[in-house]
Amino acid sequence: MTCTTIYDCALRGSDGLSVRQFGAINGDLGNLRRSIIFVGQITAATALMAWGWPLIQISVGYGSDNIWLEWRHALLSNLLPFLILTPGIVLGSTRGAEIIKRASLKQWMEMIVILAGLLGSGIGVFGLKSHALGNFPALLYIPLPFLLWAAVRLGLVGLSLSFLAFAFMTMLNALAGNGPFVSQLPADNIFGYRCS
Amino acid sequence: MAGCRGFYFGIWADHDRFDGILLGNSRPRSDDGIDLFAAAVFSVGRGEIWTTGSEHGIFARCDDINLSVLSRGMVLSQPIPRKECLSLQLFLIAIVLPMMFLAAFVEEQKDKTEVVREIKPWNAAFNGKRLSLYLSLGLTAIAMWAAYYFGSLVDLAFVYPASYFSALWPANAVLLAALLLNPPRYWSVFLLAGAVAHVVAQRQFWHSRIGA
Repeated sequence: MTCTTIYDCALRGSDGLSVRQFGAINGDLGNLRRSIIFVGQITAATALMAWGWPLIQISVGYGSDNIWLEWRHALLSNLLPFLILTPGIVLGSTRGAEIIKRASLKQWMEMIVILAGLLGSGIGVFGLKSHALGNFPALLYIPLPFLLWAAVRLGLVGLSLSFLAFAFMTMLNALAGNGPFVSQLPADNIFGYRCS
Repeated sequence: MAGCRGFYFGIWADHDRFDGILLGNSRPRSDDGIDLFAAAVFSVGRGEIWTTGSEHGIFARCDDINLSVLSRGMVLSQPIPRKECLSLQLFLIAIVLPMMFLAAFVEEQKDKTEVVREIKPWNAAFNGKRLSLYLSLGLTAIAMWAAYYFGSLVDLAFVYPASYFSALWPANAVLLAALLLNPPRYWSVFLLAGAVAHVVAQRQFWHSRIGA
């Protein structure tokens, strides 16, 4: 636990330094150029620091021997929330009061409709048994219009909130054994485990 | 128990030698009448390797399949296998990136048509006349600690069974945002608060798991 805590702190610190050092943001991410730089820097820093995880695992004798798989775990598990949440928190902190003050009733209604649409379509698609999606992979794109709507109308803060709800719902469904990211049979999983 | 029917699975082995997958529609019992599945559920929940003591069966600690929640032979939940979880994460990243760029582009265009606004710092509400710097820093660190701690508890629900990693770890995003919004000279405070919250949440989670 000590190792993971130190590793986590080092990862956050290096990511923060990387983004700060190269001036990607100055309290403001609501800009395409800065967003692209932020994504590039955060990806590079996280990818670099993610190598620390397999090394820790090897040193403490835990985890699988597949270093490449462990590295991908470390990279994606950390990168995903950075991309989903960090811009929203940063912008929400700097502009949150202003955004709330200026938000009209219509925008609040839009937010509610978008969240309801995302949850409804998400449960409808990702709550299906895995084999049910096999013949209709296009169903995966049903939530996309709602995310586009959030991106265009609600900005980065609204998109962050919407995407967080979408990501949690997708993960919860996958944990419950539903959706396209779960193989059809437990036997498939056990084979995958034994062979990995 | 013997009458329970459903889908069962497990590793069929001769002591430590892996022999194959056990699949069936009935609940198998060992020679001495021990219910293999019930015993496996009991022990796998504690992360141990279980054996009957005879040569009939061993349920290895199958991290990527669900042996912990079996009720009347039905598989109720099934943790995501690691490779499939990676696919899910890639899928989400592939969606969020273009959406994020689109949102940033739209905000940029909106800003061009509006009056240029002043960007207020993260702890602007605490600054200046009302609160001292140290107090504002402390309040921000406490708020971040709470966000990190409660975020971690939620995140740990998504932890990969076979590793310490969660499929999604938003608590880190909270900490990173705090670092980005504050000058580097104050980072040690936030890193310390994050580390404490991390340790407390992890200990609470793993203790509750082991004690379950």
